[in-house]
Amino acid sequence: MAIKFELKEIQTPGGQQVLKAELGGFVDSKSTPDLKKILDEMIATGAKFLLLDCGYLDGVNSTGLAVLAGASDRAEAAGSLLVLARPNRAVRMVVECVGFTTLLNLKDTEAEALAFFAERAKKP
Amino acid sequence: MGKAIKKDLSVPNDLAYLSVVRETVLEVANKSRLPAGEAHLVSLAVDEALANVMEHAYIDAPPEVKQVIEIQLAADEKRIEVRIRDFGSAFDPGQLPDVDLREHVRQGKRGGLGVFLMRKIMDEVEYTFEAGKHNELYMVKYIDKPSSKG
Repeated sequence: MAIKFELKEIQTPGGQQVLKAELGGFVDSKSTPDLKKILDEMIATGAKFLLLDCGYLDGVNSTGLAVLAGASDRAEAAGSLLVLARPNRAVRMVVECVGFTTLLNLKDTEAEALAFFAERAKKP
Repeated sequence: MGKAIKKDLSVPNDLAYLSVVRETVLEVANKSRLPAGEAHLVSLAVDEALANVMEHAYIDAPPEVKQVIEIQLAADEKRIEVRIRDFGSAFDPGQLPDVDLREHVRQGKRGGLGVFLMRKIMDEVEYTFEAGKHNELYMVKYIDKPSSKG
C-alpha cells in the first residue's frame, strides 16, 4: 500500500507557524522513498516547526523508522523541530521496540505537539 | 485446546507483495491467542525478513533461478511459527553485529535495522541453508512467554 500525504500550514496557540503533513498507509520498504521525499520537502521549506500527523498511518517498518529518525536529525541540524503526532498503538510499539523513543519526538495528540512547539519557541 | 492454524503462500520477489504477506500474517496471528499488538509486531518481523530477502537474495541470481519466496505460517495454542524460504544467495542474519542505533541514524543508514527488529520481536530466529537449493529463516513467537526483550 502506498503512503498518502497532505501538507498544510497551521498555528500553535501562541501563533507560531507549523508545517503539517498528514500521513496515511503503511511505510514499508516499498514506500520508504516516498516518505523520505516528503520529509526532505518539509525540511527544505525552512519551516521551524514540522508536524507529522501519523493518525492515519497503519504502520511503519524499520527502514521507515530510520528515515524518520534521520529526518529528525537533519531537521534539528537545520534549526527545525520535527514532531510525530497521533501514532497508533502499532507505530508506538515499533518505535519503543526498536528503541527510537529518544531519537523521535512522539506526542499522543496534535494539541500536545502544538504545545510542545509553543514551549520550544519560548526558548532562546 | 484450540485448533491449529496453517497458511502457506508463495509470492514473487517484488516489494509490492509485502502488504499481502503482512495482511496474511495478521489474519493468522489474529486467529491465535496472541494479543493484537503482538500480532502487529509479528507481522512486522515477517515484513522485515521478507524485505531483506527481496532486497538482497536475488541480486546476482542467474535467470534460471525461480525468484519466488515461500512463506509457511503455523499457529497453535502456544506459539506462532514462520518459515521463509528463498532460492537466492545465502545470507545469515545471525552473523550481523548488533546495531548502535544513534550511530546508525547519524550515518544516514536506512537499512540494517530489520534483523535487529526481528530479534527483538521474535523469541527464536534461526537461519539454515542448503547450498544450491534454498535458504530458510525460521522464527517463533511464544504466546504466553512474558516479554523479556524490552
